Amino acid sequence: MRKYYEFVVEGLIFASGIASIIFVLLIFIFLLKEGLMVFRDVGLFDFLFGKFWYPISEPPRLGILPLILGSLWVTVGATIISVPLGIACAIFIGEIAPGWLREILKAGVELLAAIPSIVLGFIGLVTLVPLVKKFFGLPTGLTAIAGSIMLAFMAMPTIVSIMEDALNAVPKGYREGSIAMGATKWQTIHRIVLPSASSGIIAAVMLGIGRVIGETMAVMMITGNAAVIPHTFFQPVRTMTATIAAEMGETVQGSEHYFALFAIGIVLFAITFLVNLLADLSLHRKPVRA
Amino acid sequence: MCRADMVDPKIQIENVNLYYGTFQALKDVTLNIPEREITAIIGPSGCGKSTLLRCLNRMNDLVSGTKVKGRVMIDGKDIYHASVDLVGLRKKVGMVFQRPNPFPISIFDNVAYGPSIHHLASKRQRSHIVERALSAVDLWESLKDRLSDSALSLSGEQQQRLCIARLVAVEPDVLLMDEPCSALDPIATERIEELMRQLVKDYTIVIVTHNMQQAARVSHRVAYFYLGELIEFGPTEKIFTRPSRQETEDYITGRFG
Repeated sequence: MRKYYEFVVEGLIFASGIASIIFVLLIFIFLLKEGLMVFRDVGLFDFLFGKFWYPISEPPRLGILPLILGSLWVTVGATIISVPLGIACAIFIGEIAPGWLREILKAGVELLAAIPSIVLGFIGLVTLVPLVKKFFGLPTGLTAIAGSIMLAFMAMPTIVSIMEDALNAVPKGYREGSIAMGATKWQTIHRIVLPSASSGIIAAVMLGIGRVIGETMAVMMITGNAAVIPHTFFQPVRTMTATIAAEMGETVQGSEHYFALFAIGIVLFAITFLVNLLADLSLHRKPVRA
Repeated sequence: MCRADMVDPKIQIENVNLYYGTFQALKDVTLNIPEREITAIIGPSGCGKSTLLRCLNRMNDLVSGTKVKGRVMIDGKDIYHASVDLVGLRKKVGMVFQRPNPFPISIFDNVAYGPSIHHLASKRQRSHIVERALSAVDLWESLKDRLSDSALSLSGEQQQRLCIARLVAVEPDVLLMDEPCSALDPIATERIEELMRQLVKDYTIVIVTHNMQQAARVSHRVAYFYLGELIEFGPTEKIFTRPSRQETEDYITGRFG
C-alpha cells in the first residue's frame, strides 16, 4: 500500500515537473507553425528588413523593420536611463544606506515592481506625455523618449533587486580585507565589490532589458504607435509588442497579416531568449576575473 | 628567546574596556606589546581575543554599537584620538584574517592593491613592489610566471601567503593575525609559522590563536585571556612551564577550555 502511494506521489511530481517543459514546447511549436506560414508570401529578408508595414493594403506589405527599430529605440533609451540609476540605487541600498533606510527602500522598489503595467501606462499617459511635450517643445508627447522613461521605471525593480542580491553575495571577507588595508568605503566598492559582483550585475542589466523588450501595454499607450522608421527619440514609434497587441484582435484568422503577427512573435521570442541566455551565461560564469 | 626588559613597547594597551552594546567584551585590559616580537593571544572561544586584535586597527569601528574606553597607543600615539587618520592607521597596522581572503582579481592586482589605493608608487614601480612583497612570503619563484592568474586559483596556504604579501607591499609596522592557520592543514600551518619567524625580523606581530601548540612554537610572549580579562601575560617559556596563575595552568594543560 505504502509503495503504491509513493509511486503515485512520485508520478504526480514528475508530471508537474515535466508539464512546464511540455507547455513551453507546445507554445513554441504553435508559434513556429503559425508564424512560419508568412514566409510563403514574404521572404525572410524582406520581412525583417522591409521598410513598410501596411498589413491591410492590397497587396499587404509586411516589412517589420520600423517595428524592430521602434522596439530598439525604446529599449536602448530605457537601458540608458535605467542602468546607471539602477546600479547607483543598488549600491546605495546594498552598501551605503543604514539598516532602517535600506528596509524602506527595498520595500519601495518591490512596490514599484508590483504596480501593474497598465497603471503605469495610464499614469504615464496623463502625466509624463504632456510633460515630455512641453519640455522638449514637441508637437506630441507620444514619443519614443516617453516610452523609454516609463519603461526605465519598469526595469528598475528588476535591475535593483537582482543587483542587490549580487552585491550581497560578495563575501564579507573581501570588504573587510579591503577596509583593513586602509581603503576607503568608495575604493572598496568600486575596486573590489563591483568587480566581484560583475557577473550578477550583467545578469541584472540583461534581465532588465528583457523586461523592457517584452513590455506591451504601457508602451502601446504612450509611444504614439506610428509604424514608421524613427530617426530620433522625439518621434512616435511602434514596438513589436504593441503591434501584436493592437492588431491581433482585428485580423482575419489565417490571413497573411495574421501569420505575420505570429512571425513577429517569433522574432520577439528569439530576442528575449538571447537576452535571457546572455544573462544566464554571465550569472553562471565563474565569478573570477583574471 | 625574548628580551627580558621591555624598554620601548610598540603597542601600549592601557585600561581598555570595550562594549558591544551592553555586553562588555574586554575588561580593563592593560598590556604592552614589544616591537619585533611575536605576541600570541590565547584563550577559549569568546574570551575577547579577536576583539582585542580588532581594537588595534580599529576594525571594531565597523560593528555598530561598539564603545571603547581607555587608550591604545602605537608608537606613543593614541589611535583612538579624534585626530587619528584611519586610512593611515590601517596602512601601518595590517591584518591577516582567519579565512584567506584574497580579492577575486589577479595575483598581481592583489599585491598592487595597497600601493595603488595609498598612491605609493607609479605603475612602473609597482611591479618591483609586487616582486619584493611576493619574495618576502616565498611566493615569487612559484608564481612569477602566472601573476595574471586569478588569486582564487591558488591553494589555501598560497592564498594566505598572498594576503600577507598584500600587506607587506604597503610596508606596515605591525601585522595582526587572526587565527591565520585555522583554515590550513598542519603542513601548511608549519610553513606559515616559518614565514612568521622570518617576518618578525621586520615587523611586530600579534597573533590570535586557539591552538596552544602554535602559540608555544612561534611566539615570544603569550597573553592568556578569559571572559574579557587578561589573566596572565609573560614570556612564552614561562607561561607554558611555570605559569603564575592557576587558571592559566588549567587552560594550557587542557584541564579546561
